[in-house]
Amino acid sequence: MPEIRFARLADLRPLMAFMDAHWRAGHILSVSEDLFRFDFQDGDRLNLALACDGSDIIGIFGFMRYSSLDCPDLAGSLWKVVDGRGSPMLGLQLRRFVVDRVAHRYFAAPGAGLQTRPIYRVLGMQWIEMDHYVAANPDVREQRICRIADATAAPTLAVEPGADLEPVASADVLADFPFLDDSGGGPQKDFAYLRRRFFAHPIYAYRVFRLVDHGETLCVVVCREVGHDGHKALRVVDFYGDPRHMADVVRGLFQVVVAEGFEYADFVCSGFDPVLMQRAGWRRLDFDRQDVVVPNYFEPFVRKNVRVYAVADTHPGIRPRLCRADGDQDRPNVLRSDALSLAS
Amino acid sequence: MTGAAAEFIVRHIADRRGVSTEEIDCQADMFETGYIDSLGVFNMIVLLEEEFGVRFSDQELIDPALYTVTSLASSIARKSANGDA
Repeated sequence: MPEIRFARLADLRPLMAFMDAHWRAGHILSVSEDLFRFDFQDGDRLNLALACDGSDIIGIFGFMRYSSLDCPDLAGSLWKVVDGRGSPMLGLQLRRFVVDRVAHRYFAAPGAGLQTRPIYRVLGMQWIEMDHYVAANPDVREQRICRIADATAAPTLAVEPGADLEPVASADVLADFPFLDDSGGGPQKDFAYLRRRFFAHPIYAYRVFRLVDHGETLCVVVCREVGHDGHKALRVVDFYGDPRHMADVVRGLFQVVVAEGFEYADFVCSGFDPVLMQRAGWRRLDFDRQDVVVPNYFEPFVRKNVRVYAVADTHPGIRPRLCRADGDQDRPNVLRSDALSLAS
Repeated sequence: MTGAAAEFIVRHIADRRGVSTEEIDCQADMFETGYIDSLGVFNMIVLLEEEFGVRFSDQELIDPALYTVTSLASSIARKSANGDA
């Protein structure tokens, strides 16, 4: 009978070895202790449940907190058991161990593999196909990242200038922003989450913007540059605030896209009103069309559309609103300072 | 209902393994015999839930008492009788 317990810091190296042996040889979490600690260290423990058979780790279930609230929203991460060791339902046991012991309001995370859909169905969770929005730069004549046949048609943007999108150099600027709104969306992410996730990442450099109107921050937008073959794109990976300001956000982002020569900006998300998004200037990717390709993978680069799936608790009072970098997503696959270094 | 559920499970296993239904031992542990694996069982549970209008919790699925065709089919029959949808 395997022992199931929370991981301790002393388990860090064995867990990295587990990742190498049972997830994928050379997986970044098997070689980057910094990233492993960043993703899972919580004081003197690690946010993972593990199953041990003697000294062998035979299963893990990780989780991440979206806020520092006493009862935060959680994302599951790194769910893996070794075939043939322990109970055939060891994975469920590990998950149950966490669900029963970690106070939480709601479970939600993107990045679910299609083969896991029946598991989440049995668990009563929602299966979500995330939307992929894009705004192409009409000034870029040669596309090396995306393939958008009619990219020369600039997005229809809000004509009347509204609030301004400005870069945020320090998280402190955002300390007073009401991250934990009561609009019913989940997961709820707080200032502490944003500051740590995007201003202290050990590998990725994020660009954070805020939409400002008369000194008041209306929205916070987190982006990351990706590159391939000397070209680059701007990915929106997180969004805070009222989406009704999206038109001003897109207008501001598009200025950045054009001024800095990005091929396009894109945003993988769910829970944002498609009509509002398209009115704001985003074009929604049709996965059935082959003439419009906006890649998902850059490390290594793969020029094809990829559907991103998410799972979320079925909760009567919470509407899932997920962004690309939620949970353990937007994680590096290779040890480079940023994806642009892969461009050559 | 037990008969119908057992028949459904046996047919499901036999189809996936490419064997005849007679070869399935309804008293044997479905995992130990290799009738089903820890991912495949969820596909089967989804089908059973749809076919018989019942629901299983993760707590129930963790219980090894449900790992034979007979015990799983009996559980479905009990749930159906109790209106445990």
